[in-house]
Amino acid sequence: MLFNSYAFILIFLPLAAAGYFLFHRFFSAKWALIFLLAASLCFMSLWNVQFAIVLMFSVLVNFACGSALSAAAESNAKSKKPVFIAGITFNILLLGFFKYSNFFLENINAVFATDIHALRILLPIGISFYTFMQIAWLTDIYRQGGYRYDFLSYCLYVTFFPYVMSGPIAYHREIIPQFKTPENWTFNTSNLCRGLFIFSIGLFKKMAIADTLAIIVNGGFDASRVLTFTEAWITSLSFTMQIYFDFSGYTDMAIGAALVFNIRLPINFNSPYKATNIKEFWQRWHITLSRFLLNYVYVPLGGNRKGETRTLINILLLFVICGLWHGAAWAFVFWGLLTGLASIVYRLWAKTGLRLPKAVAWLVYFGFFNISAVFFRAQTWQDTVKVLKGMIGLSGIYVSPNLAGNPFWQKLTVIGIRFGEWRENLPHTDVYVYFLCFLLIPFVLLTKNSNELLEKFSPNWKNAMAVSLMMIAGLLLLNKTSSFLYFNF
Amino acid sequence: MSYLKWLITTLSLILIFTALVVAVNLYVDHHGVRLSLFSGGGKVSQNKIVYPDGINQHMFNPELIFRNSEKFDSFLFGSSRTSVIHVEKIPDSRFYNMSYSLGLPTQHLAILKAFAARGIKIKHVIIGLDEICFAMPAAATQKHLVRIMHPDIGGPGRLEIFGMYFFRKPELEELGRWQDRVMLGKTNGRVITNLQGVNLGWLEKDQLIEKAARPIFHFAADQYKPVTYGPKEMDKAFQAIEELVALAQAHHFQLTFFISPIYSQLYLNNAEALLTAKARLAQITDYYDFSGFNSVTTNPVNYYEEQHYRYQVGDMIIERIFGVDVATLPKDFGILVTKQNIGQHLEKQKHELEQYLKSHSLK
Repeated sequence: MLFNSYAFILIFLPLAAAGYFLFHRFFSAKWALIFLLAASLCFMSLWNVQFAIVLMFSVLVNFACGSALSAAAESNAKSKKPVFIAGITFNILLLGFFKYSNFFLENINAVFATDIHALRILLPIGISFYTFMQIAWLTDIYRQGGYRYDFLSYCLYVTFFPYVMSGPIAYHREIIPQFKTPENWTFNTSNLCRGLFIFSIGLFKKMAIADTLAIIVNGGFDASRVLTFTEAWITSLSFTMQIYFDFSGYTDMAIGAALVFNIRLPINFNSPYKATNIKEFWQRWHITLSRFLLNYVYVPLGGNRKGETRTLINILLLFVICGLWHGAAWAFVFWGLLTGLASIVYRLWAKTGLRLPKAVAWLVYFGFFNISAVFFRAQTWQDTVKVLKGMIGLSGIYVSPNLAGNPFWQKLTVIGIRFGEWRENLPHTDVYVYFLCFLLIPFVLLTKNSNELLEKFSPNWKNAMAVSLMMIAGLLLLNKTSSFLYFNF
Repeated sequence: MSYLKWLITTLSLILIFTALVVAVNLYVDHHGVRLSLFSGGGKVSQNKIVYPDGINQHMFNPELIFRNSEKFDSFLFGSSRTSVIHVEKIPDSRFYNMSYSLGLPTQHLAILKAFAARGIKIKHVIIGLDEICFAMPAAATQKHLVRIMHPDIGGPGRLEIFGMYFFRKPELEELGRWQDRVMLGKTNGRVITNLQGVNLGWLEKDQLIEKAARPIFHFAADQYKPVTYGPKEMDKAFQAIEELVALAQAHHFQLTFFISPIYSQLYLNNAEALLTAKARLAQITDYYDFSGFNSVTTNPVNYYEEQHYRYQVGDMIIERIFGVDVATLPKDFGILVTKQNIGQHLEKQKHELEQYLKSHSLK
């Protein structure tokens, strides 16, 4: 079941919230949690029952490991380390099996010219997210001890439907105490209003903006054979905007849905396109993934504690892992490598003490992200080359034939500019759709993001009207339902 | 403002906006779904029925038959091309022209099964086939609101249909066409049929061609690039055809297939793939073949544009199938293909294709 579906918005979410608070009111907290757990598993099963089975298998094994680890940590037993290693290995193997088996086999076949058939495996939705959440729990116990939870709370923490499929990657210490706080057990109108507020923003971002941009992105990346200069830039910029509005829209909806249950989720985006360098960007983009990778990958690798060379290697490794986490393909590895190298360049640059003017720094980084996103989106190397070739003008630079009479543009024909249809290879759609990616740039730079708006939310006529309009626009566009980009990761 | 008041205000506004949009969509009814499913029938005047031009005939036509099951005993199925066939000219039957946009054999089968299940007496069914039937996956045709199937014939439920058509953002183009049709009384934005379902929307163009006595379009295949049809689509189409034959036997109705006279320039790149389809079809049933390079299909004056043939061509199809005024028909137009003569027929058509390619220097 998708967040952007009538079934979720009009039936599942209201029923789950009503049931949860009624169980709290008339039965007990334990029954309310059981109900919410059942609702979350039902949510997952509506995609595919097998996904729910894999999820519960992962939860059971991790809970057993975590409990044993916690007991070992408390008694300072020698079994602590082996249990921890077993738990982490299990998680990596589970994720590896479902996500990377066929990628591995493809490469074996390519290198050794063998013909091993691909395994018929469906990638369980959310496995990348809930695996990381559980690795974080095991590591926290190993490092600090404690964090012993009852099975029900732990199960609900991992399976809670607002974030189980695409994050945010919430930590156990952020979520479980909230389920146990009695103040959160009663229906809260303020939280419902705030939840509705941010949910409507997310729905609007996804349905009205991201899915509109998808028309150009899908046409440009997947359908067209060649892209001219303007077409390639429109395509790549549209994707840069699409991925932000799609994923941050999803996160807003997740935050909103959780707020209805009086649960506050960590924020995932903080106006990332305002960043003027790569370091700042990763502090603003997919924040819960960045902090996980920092705390549970970079720090164990040695972080910046083992000398400069090792630090640079660790940065590179961190981003390669980040790339591989996003998908089992060499394009993602390459994207990770590229991002890692950019981080190293930035680190070395920062050490020189030189500073670029803010606008130039923004332009340099935004340009880099826009180009690197091509590797992230293209489904084949041919598509990547096609878009990049177009972006550097190798497939022709066309401007509107209406400009043919203009002497300035006529002079530019010397450098290869031609007059012709500037969107011939893109899908035919309303003119504003082609320019939407440009129109959104000032919007993402100058306006407050949804989390900032939520912080300052106070009920008034203006935002009641805005929420109604965004909600109705989102609801009316649901008939063109599409799935979220980050479900693939 | 208190949180509770804000919540009530917001939810009320959402309801009001929703109701407004639904009301507009219901009123404009661009796809004729309210007309067919929820209020029954178009506006009849002077033996013509006027519909909005986005009409979903996959839904409208079966519903009309469900509601008037006694009026008709025979049906002609096909794509928009066959919608010009004046079925009222067919002798000894009460035909309704069921043609709908990109009609496929699987859809014809589903509708006929539904008719049979509802006890509708069927005397004769004529099915017009063309390259779309073998090339187009059913799922692709079902993505557009013009072609969603009737709720009782494999389509979504009525509630879902209500949501799909009325709980959505109205397109500006639909509003524009509604304005043309209803407010300004213009001819665009509407589809007109007679009471037997024949599309009368080509009449103006027909008169234009008569007056000009020459073709009113130009379409030419600039190179020879033969297409192939997906094996899955072919298998589905032939499975449906086999089931149609079985259904006709089980319910004792006459079933006639024909292949439409596709305009030769359009036919050219489909010719090879269609020859394979024709060979396979002959193993299942006899059929009339009006396609190929004959005196009708090679003359653009017989077409409104490259896709649609004229009413007079439709008349000739009926005349050939029912043996009426056969003497006046071009001899090379329409041949009854059987298991016995298929080999000979295919040889002849292959030869015609080669000749055509040679004479047009396309190979």
